[in-house]
Amino acid sequence: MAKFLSRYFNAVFGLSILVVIGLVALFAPHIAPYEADRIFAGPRLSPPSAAYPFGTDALGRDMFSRVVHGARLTAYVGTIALVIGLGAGAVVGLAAGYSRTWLRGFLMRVIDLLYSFPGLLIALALVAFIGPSLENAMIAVGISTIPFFARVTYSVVIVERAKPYFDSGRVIGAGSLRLMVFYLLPNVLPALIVVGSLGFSTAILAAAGLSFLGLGAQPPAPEWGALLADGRSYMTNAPWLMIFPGLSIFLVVLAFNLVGDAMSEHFDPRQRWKR
Amino acid sequence: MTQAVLEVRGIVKHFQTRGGAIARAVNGVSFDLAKGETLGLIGESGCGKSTLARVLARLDTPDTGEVLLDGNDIGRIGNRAMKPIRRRIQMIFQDAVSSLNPRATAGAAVAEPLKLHRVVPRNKVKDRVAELFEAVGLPVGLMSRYPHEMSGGQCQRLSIARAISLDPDIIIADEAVSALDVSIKAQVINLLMDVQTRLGLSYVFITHDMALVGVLSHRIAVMYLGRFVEVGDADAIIRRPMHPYSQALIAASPIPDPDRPRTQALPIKGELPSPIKPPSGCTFHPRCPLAQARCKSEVPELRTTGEARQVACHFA
Repeated sequence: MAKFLSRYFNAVFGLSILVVIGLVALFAPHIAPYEADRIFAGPRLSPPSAAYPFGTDALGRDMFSRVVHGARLTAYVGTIALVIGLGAGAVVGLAAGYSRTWLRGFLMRVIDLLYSFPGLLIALALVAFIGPSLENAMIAVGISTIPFFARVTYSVVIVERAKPYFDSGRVIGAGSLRLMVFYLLPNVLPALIVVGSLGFSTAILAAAGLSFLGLGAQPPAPEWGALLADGRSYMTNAPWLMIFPGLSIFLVVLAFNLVGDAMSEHFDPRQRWKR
Repeated sequence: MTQAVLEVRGIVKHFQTRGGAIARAVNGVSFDLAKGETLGLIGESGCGKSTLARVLARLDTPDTGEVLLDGNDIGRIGNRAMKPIRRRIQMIFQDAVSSLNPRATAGAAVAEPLKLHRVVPRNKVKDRVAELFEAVGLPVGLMSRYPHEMSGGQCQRLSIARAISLDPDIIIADEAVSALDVSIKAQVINLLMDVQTRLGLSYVFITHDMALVGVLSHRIAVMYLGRFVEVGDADAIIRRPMHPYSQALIAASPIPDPDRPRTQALPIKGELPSPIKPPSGCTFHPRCPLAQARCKSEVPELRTTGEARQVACHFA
């Protein structure tokens, strides 16, 4: 047990943070002493105290309750953005990697084109186009990560496609769809799980960034990025308004990165024997 | 000899390398394969054996030439039209473990072709899989195992079960036993021969194991740089190879047969030339102990010399 812990310390640490945050998100209404946007729950701009562990904001809202409720939004944003990005990226990458016709070149050039823009820029442009809201921010972040997931999927697919088992599938007469779904997909899945867990943190960070710019969650939604933006005007005299949401984002991203790293090590046999 | 199941006519397969050069992997190969016959295909690594195998199994399409199955060219037909024909030509690969889908159980690997081609009614698939396991000598208890949980020999038996599940006419075995231990190798070979007599299959058996090819094949084709240099009766070629390359190849291999006359071939020197820049004339001439001026300019055709023997050499 001690050996296991020392070997997988990072993973266990990251996973515990995720479990705690997950539980907080799940039971937010029971944990938070107030509703997220209950104004004058306490005095205005009071520093952290026993009654208000994270302090209060300019409208006297309890920051602890806001951050706790914000965990739900964060989980929601991360999940939806990941489903869009990973889902569409995997489909494109699979199709491009499988195809040996013009389709491969076409899909990959489109992906390369999108990949040459910073992801956040694409997300910004999309939100500017479809209008600022939390839902649109999730969609935009999701779409902006498609090129990354498509590239990763593609690179794994072309490796798997060259293995003899793929040919043995062709020899027995398996069709394109079957080859993609039963032969390639299950064998690229481990890689997708790894990049997915890393992508989750990217998505959360990007969505928080959009909210911070006012293009994501709209007031009074307690999304962590939006909380940061709200607290900015009081940064010098009420720093707790930024510290706690900022710390929360930091912890979630750190946790996902730790878990993702541990998984990529675990799935890479060359790294597994290193220690 | 009975009628040919497979007639191969002038197969050419070239590949474009990254630099734009053209590798002539297979450069005009023709042969017939009779029902129930085993054709042993031998040659050095890089001589185009595997490319030929892939063309025959329609994993690659030939550039020119025809692959006639019962008289119909299957060389360039589309995937959809190919599907019913897949049943008739199967392939067994060298690396047994990696030629099985790592995410499919042994039972699923054998059930897949049965379901795909509706070989048996859906409710009979399980019974048929069990029968096939038995036929190749695999314990039925292994059905829920994954390829990496099985030995190389077991995986190769599984590949054979998968191939024969479709009741094919032809099996292309590309170095199918080369990677196995000697004892396992013998078992798998016996299994292959046993299956052949039971189902009346034809094999194209690719190997570089000369002893094996003599035991297993009815006929042997010796391949050099994308061409057949000698084709004929297996025993006859092993005992008295006529092409200098076959002579060198056979003289260099230990064949456990005390009655075999010692071949007096001169050892050949050098490496297999690159298929990107094959030598002029007879491609074997730079390494051939008998080479003369004529060999540099004139390509020797594969011509019949004596009964059931074809040799591509000016002096044979």
